[in-house]
Amino acid sequence: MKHLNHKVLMVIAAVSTIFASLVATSACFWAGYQPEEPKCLREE
Amino acid sequence: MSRVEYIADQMAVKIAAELQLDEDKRAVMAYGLFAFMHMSLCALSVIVVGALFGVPLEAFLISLTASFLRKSSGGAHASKPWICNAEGVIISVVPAILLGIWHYQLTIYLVFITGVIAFIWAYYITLKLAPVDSPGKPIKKQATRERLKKRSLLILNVYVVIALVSLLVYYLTANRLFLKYSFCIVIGVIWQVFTLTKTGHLLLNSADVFLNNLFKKRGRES
Repeated sequence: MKHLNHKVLMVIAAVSTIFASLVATSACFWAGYQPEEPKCLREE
Repeated sequence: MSRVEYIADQMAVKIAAELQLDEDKRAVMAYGLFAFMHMSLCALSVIVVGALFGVPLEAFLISLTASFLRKSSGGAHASKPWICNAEGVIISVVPAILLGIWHYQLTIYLVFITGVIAFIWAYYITLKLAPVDSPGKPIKKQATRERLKKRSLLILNVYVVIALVSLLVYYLTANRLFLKYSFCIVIGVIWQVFTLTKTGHLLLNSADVFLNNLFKKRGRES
């Protein structure tokens, strides 16, 4: 059960990271609110 | 921090602890989770409120058109997620309701001429202003600005094709739904391009202040 739980968490982590990268390559969120982007995703 | 941001943050903290991820990965995960939750909530609100007024598809089409272009062109932003949500619902559902009431007065010529004027204006504003960044996500590199401008223009090209094909299908089948869909795309483009302009920023900032004050006052009274 714990092994399955770990796998589910890994999937959530991967999907959310992909989503963050998608937003990072865009001008902004696809909606009218833009939170502060994490430092490691910001372009210098 | 909004409630949705808080939930995304807490989820990221727990997942990062369980998977032993570092602070950067946790922050990226929180950002991605919030992006997913906020955008899903916005889309769902538009569909649900649109359904209450009998125009879910039209409202969603207007919202989708604006959102997809917004991804590359940027634009004025709300100060809080719920204000963004409220503005999104108003901007998508109100035109969809009006379109539902007056769609029998729409003609192919009216949609075509409105579309031509709207797209000429959209290309001009996009070329001149896009991408419009925000304090939360500044765009510093010139190469990124050029890439996003090109992508915005490409999306506009795709919209022109979809709107024209929709008009052509209406011309061939006389199914008025296609006339409506074509006009929804035009409305979505007009709204999104308007948020790139100074007037758009002024209007959205005023709406932001108004909604903030309205709910602060209500909070004090209750």
